[in-house]
Amino acid sequence: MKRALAIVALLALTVLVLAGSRTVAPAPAQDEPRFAAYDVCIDSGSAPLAAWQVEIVASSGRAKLVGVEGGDAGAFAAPPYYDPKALMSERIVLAAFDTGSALPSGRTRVARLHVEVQGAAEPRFEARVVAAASRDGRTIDVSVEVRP
Amino acid sequence: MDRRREDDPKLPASLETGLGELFRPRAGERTELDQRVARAAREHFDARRRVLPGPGNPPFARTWALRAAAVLVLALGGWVLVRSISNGLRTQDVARADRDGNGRVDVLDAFQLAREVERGVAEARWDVDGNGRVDREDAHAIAVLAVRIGS
Repeated sequence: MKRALAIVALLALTVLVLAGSRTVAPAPAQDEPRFAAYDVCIDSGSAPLAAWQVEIVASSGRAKLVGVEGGDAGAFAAPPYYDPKALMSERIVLAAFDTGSALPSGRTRVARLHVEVQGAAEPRFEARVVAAASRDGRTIDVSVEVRP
Repeated sequence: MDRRREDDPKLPASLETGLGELFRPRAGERTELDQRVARAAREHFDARRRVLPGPGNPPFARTWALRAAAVLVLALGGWVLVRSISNGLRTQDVARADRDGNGRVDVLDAFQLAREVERGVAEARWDVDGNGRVDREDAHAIAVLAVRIGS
């Protein structure tokens, strides 16, 4: 009787181990590339934003720029100016201007970056305002942020 | 050996002396011939010395150094020219595009020109792309310069 119970217990243990091993998901490959989009937002406060130029550098993680998209509908809906040589690199300069009257103010998404990311680490971007101007060409203080 | 020597024909002594006298080199002719050969050799090697490298021949070294420098300057100039052309606008165009004179070309230069074009007050000197007229394309060219990534 004891021998039969031992055999049953051993079988049960084997079944549990096999079932457990099947439920474990395969670990994602560390170097498998993935793609992500990051919004470039400029806050011009109460001043209407007519022209802007920013420099963006991937400061951590392995990220390469693969595309640039325009911003929110309106003055900066079209893709901004950028050097195609910046694609597949980690640094880019973006700029745009609009001479129309329908200009945004406050926080505005002016562009979207498409990025190829290698590895599990989330890339971080450092953005710097090069220049910004209001409708009359007057230089204005703005802040820039790049976020997923 | 002795047999062959015995078999050799013997010339009469007078004939042997006469032949020797006839074909004996004359001292004067020999000297003249030697001098001509020496002169020709000197001329030949003098000419070669003017063309071939060698120590104690500074004109030759200078000539080739000048030629090498000229080739280097031409190659460098060509490289700079091709490089500036391939980047779109030339260096003087980049300097001209800095409208506000702050030492760099940025979007504000392009925006300023675009506003002037729109108002119809843009001056002819802002024809940055050199197509004979000042229009929005010139503002576009300045914006392209502003975002250029240095290589």
